[in-house]
Amino acid sequence: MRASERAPAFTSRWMMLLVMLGMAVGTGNIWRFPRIAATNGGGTFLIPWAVFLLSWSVPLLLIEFAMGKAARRGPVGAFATLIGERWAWMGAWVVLCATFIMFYYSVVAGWCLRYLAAAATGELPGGEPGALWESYAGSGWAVLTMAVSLGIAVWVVAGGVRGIERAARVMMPTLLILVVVLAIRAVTLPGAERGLAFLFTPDLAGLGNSRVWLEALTQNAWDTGAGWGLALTYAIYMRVREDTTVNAFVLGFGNNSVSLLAGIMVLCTVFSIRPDAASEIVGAGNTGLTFIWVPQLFAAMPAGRLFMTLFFLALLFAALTSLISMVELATRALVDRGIARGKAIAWVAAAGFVMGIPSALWMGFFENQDNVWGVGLLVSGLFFAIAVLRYGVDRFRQRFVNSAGSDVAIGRWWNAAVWLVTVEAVVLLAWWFSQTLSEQGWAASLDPFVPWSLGTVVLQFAVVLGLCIAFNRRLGRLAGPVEAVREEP
Amino acid sequence: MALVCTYVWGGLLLLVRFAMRKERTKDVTPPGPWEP
Repeated sequence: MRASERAPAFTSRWMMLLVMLGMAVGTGNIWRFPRIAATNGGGTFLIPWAVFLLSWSVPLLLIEFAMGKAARRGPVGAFATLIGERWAWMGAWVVLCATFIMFYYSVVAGWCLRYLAAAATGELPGGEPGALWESYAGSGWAVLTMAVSLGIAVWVVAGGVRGIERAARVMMPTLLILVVVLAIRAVTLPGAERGLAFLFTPDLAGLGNSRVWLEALTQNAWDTGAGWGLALTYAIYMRVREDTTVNAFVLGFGNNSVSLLAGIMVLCTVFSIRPDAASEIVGAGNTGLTFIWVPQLFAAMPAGRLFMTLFFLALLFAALTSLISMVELATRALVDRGIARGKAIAWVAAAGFVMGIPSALWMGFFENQDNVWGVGLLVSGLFFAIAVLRYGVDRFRQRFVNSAGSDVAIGRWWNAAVWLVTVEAVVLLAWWFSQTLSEQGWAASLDPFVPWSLGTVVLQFAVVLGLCIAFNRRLGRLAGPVEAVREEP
Repeated sequence: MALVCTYVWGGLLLLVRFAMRKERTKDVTPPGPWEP
């Protein structure tokens, strides 16, 4: 019997897509997209954003789907199986990068939980703007809400693939309905047309600005979940005769559809209620926009408390469904090492709680981790592309993408897309490098104790990469043969 | 506005419709041990 047949599978294609969409749609869609779109020209930004959906997100999702479905192992095993045990360290990097993000993402989910409670009980907006944020962020309460969020994610993952399906069945339709309801509410506010005009009127001259293109690529890299290893981990549960190509396109377009709705929701609300302070609001950063300005904005509209509660409920569901996928990825990495699933989940829960505490208590540490592992995701995406190039792009396409059960056969254009992803990742990393140097200067950017410095990123990357390479031999020893991927001699 | 919304939401609807049509006619039973 094949290894793949013994593993549990998603009950249907639609259930799989719902779970995958839960992984892809996170807080980045709701709080980052509107902010980045607004600060990069609104309508002008949407053009490169739509281009990179096809030239970054979809090709990478396709690679992850194909690797996970074929190898039926997490990133470490999938890299080792595809290109050889010498390269298992690349998969380990992908796992560690997503796991370090999990450590602080549970803090974000905790913030959403706290603000949902505050909105529902009428504690928000409060007398002073940002008063709740000042007293809550970095306090012991943030540790408590982080622990509760992580506990929910761990409880869901403990239920296995059926538990993950049950959570997605409740949370994802609710999230999608909430985003649609909030977007409709926003466009029906007086003056909302100013927000729509800003978001959808392109200034073609702005397309000559390289920053707009790079921000659009970064947004696609961070909010679709492409290159994180999460889609690969869920693809382990794909049915044997499941399609990869159309599903990857549906996931990419589905994720960006939610981003577009979130953009309409946030920008129409901002331009309707505080058009005078629009640039200040969207320039306030992710947490500033969401946890300081959003309560003020909702408080100024009719039935504001109800819509504020719905907004934070949507944000919480978006955060939780993504957190669940990160817990599943870390658990899968341990299960692949031969550790029993129950024990692996307990280890992940304990590590997640302990490692999440610094980010919950110190905003500087949180910002540092967000910066370091956000850049690390670009390296992860690059590793996926390198793995396919090393295996042979054409061979990968014919063997794993155009496989049995695929709805469509993709042509040679995809080979070029993989090369393009490689070039994009290198350009983006080089841009980030030069940008940091020019903004901070050599001395400050090399200081490893400054949260946003080049030095802190390089140091942490070096430590993690060094450990991955040092333990490569042990990582490369797979728990068992994978007949589905091995080619006949 | 029409262009971007048609591309993103229209693209999603077309893809889902295509996937639904394919799913109706697909044999999803796992391959037997005799199949390659």
